[in-house]
Amino acid sequence: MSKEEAILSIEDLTIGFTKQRKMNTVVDHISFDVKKGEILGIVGESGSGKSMTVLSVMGLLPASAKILSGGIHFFGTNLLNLEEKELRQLRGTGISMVFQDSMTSFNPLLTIGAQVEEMLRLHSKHTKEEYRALTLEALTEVGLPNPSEIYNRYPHELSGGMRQRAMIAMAMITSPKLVIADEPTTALDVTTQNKILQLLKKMNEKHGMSIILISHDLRVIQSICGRAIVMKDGRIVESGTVTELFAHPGTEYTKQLMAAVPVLFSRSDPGQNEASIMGLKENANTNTEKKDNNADQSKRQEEILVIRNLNVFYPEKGIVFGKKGRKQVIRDVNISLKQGETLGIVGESGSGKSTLAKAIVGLNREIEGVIKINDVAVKDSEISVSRPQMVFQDPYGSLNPTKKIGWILEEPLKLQTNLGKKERMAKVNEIIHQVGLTSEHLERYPFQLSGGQRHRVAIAAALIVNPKLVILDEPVSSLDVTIQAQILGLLKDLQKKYNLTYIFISHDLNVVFQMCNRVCVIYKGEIVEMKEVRELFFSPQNEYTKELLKSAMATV
Amino acid sequence: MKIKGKTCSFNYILGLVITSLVILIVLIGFFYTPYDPNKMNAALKNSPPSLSHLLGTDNFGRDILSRVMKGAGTTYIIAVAIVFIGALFGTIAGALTGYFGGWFDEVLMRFNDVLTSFPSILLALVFVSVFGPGTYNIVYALGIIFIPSYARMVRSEFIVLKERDFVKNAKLMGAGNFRIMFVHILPNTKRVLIPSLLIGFNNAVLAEAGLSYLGLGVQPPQASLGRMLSEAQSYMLDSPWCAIAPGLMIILTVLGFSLISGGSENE
Amino acid sequence: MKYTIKKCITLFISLFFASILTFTAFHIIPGDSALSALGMDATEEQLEEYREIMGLNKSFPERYADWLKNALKGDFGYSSQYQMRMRVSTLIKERLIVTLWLAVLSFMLIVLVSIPLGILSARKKNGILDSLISLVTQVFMSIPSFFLGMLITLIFGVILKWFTPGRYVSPGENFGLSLRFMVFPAIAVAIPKIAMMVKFLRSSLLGEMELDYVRTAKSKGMKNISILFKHILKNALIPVITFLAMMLADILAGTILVEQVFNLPGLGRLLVSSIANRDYAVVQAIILYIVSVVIIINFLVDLIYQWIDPRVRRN
Repeated sequence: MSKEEAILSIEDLTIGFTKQRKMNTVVDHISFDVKKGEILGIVGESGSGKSMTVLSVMGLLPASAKILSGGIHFFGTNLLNLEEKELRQLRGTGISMVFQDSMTSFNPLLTIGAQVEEMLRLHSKHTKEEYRALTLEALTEVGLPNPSEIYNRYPHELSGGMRQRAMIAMAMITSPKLVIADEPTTALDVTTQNKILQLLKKMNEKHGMSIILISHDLRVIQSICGRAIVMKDGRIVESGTVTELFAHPGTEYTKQLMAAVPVLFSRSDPGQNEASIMGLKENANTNTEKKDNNADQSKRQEEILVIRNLNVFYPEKGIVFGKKGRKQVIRDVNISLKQGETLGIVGESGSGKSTLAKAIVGLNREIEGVIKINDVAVKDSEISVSRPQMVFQDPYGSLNPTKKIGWILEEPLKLQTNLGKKERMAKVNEIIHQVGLTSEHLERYPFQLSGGQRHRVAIAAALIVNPKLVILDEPVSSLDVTIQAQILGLLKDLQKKYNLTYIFISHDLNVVFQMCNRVCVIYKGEIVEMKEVRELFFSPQNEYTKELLKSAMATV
Repeated sequence: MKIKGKTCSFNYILGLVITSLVILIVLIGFFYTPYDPNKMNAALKNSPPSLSHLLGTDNFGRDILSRVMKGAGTTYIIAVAIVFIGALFGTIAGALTGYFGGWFDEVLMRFNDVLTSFPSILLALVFVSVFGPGTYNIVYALGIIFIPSYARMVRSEFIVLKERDFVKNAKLMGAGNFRIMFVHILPNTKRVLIPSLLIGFNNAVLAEAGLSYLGLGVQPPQASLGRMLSEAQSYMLDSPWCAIAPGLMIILTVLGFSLISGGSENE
Repeated sequence: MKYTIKKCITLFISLFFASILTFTAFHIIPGDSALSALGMDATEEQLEEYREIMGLNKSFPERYADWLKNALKGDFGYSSQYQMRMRVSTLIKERLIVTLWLAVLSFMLIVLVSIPLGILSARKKNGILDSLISLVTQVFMSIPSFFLGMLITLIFGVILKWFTPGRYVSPGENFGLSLRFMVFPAIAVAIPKIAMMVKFLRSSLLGEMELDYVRTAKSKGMKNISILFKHILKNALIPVITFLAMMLADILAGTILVEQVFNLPGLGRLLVSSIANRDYAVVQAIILYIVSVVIIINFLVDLIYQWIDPRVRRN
């Protein structure tokens, strides 16, 4: 039986920001407790106030933020009444924090060992040898191999996963009662994510300290949290045990969040792919109809993309001048795609998916092998005359910040068609409405639009010239879950309407499952498996595919 | 306080005031000066500021106010010409090398590195010693000397910008290289280019003043602020106004522009 | 290691380019230098003899090679502007100490004054002190160094009589007096540079303060002052070092003007008078010296960079 006492108690907390003389409330009268020894999850999308809440616990709010009301009690003491000096003592020994971006959260000029040890030096007194020994012990405990070597390394010399472990070691070395982990796994690969989450759980079980785990990713929350609270717009929308929450979400918003992540997994059925893809099966119904349609059509459609024995290279820089050699990034890829199909390309970061996409589209010309779009070899011309278009991952980067939306949409027409100004503007107006925006948006600049709106513009710009083939590189990964659903819906509609062919690149298996007919899995530059989507998900053959599927849906 | 939606600090406003004042004086100087700046009047040698000569007279009896007005005008025109040459050719060179890269870029960069090791005044001195002093020569000399820094700045902007997705997008849409460079990428360098024009102007003013002070720039009898300072040097003790007036003019010019370009930053 | 080698190669290429540039500049002058050296009355034989001795009949690359060979030995030929026939190298040696002394003193002033001011300005960000420092630096950056020199001469030299304008005392002769006299020209050179450094350091520090690792340090319970000195300063100083190296070129340029104002017998003044007198041998030599010093110091700074920043060492 675990003790039910609360070690942290937040009451009626309100935090506001002054921006240009106006007060914006970012956290609105919230109250919650963290019990001893528990792992509490805080779920919310960007702007929900989750980070501000925990920063206020640590006393690390930016200068422009003010606590307008409420109290934060830690073991009975109201932290808001403490002097800076007393707060400093509390940090590290009472409450520690693990941040999202481990690369920037470490000082690049100091060794890992020095920085982890620093935490120790700030709060305890030992001899030099003792400091070092304790630090090495901490590094070992978080699962770092060769701790004495890592001690002397600099942050940029470690991988993301190792750095994150080091950060956890740093946060825990002074045995705090509460550790706050703010999106600790967001910047990591799926496989590494799980390892880090397991580490946190191990620490919790071994040392009994409480953890607040913040994430926008429901799977992360479900993997190790006992209870969770859901935040939206600065308020707590719902709270309860994780099992309860997932099985019977109470509010609309929570339901929305769940629905947008169709892969639900039950904790009672560990490691069973079939059983744990209940959500997939439910959603599969909505997909079947469309897929049957496509299956019929594909018999009548021509092959639009043919890739044979493709090898792609990356030029390497020499010492003083220009390029010296090249590295092979993609090996012997063979793909054929029919019109109207959607092909998914999945793989972890670094697998070569983006390189492959760029090669197909003609942006990377260090290639060997054949790429034919509509029967015209890509290698021969600079960019294929059939001009496949691409929707890039970060729409803010893909829209020229100094041009208005109207100009951005008109540009491809100027370059590829002979239409007069009036006709061009007519087309621009047409497409902006099709993606769900208005003519008013044409007069704006990219920075004046929201993330979702920019995505729509990027899609419009890609489609305005009626390309045969559209490659979408992680088109929804930087979006909030609710907006993701909207954009994916838009893409499906447009595909149906214009009989477009998509190549969908993503590391997010759920998105791939929703959108694609066929999927190929890339690992270290090679295609390890390529099948029809349901076949791949339900009966994967390749070891790596199995591994990938398992980590995306794993529970413990 | 807001002007056109930009929050202006005290510095910015001060800069605007000073610059407007200075430009006003110069503009008036183009059309009217109280006296002929070159007219000597031995009787009034080195007289202190008075009602008839607001800033006094120099060692030749020439009216200092008129000389400052005309001299500032000369200095400004020279500075604008210098920045124009430097920025125009520098931007083109920077855009080409930053965008295309390759061995040509490497060579040019080495060359650029070497040039930056020459303090700019030194290069100007080399130029002047080879081609002789004079107004046009220092415009060419300093203009050419300014090219590398603009080239370097534009080049590093282009190197970063050309990797951005909107450039790749433009390529996919069929835009040719020159269109991409000058229609797509260049407007994105505004943010660094415009302040650097103001800074360049200031540097040009100071450089011209220095060269003219050494006797290698604007030649007598044409007035230039630097020249006036070197003439006034020997009389500093007895008639300091001869030096203070042109010196102050230089300071106000440079200060005004630097407050404008620096003062509108939100700290 | 690769990094060091790359920098060494760059060093030699730069020096090479610099020498070519310098040499070329002075040998494209139109006109017959024999004629201008010997005058209109010289006979053809005399002119021809002069050309032979001076090697003017050799091809351009040969002349360059000759010049370079001699230069590396320290022999720059003879000066043409003085009554006595003086070796260029002698002239330079006499003046070098003066300019070096001025440059070193200026540099020390810059470092000693701007670092504390920069730190102060960043710590009291947006306070009254910060705004004051900001305004003052802007003003000082707008004053041409030679005008500043003139004002300093007037106020401290003539009015307050803290030093004698126009008089130079070498440090060997009387160190204390030399220091007292030289500090004023050094101030004239240093002040505009101090202003620039303070501004730069301040923005570098402020930029670092925004970074994540500062937040991490705070979350560990560090005091702000400790964070400043143990974490921020090191990071912020890295770009400052390059800035300082860049400023070195400016300092040397500044000495040229300031020597003129204070009438110091240094390289700068020699350079100006040589240009006026068309004594190209001297001009070439001085320019080569100055440029080489700058290139070498930049090279050393690049090496130091590698030592300080582990991210660079990786290469």
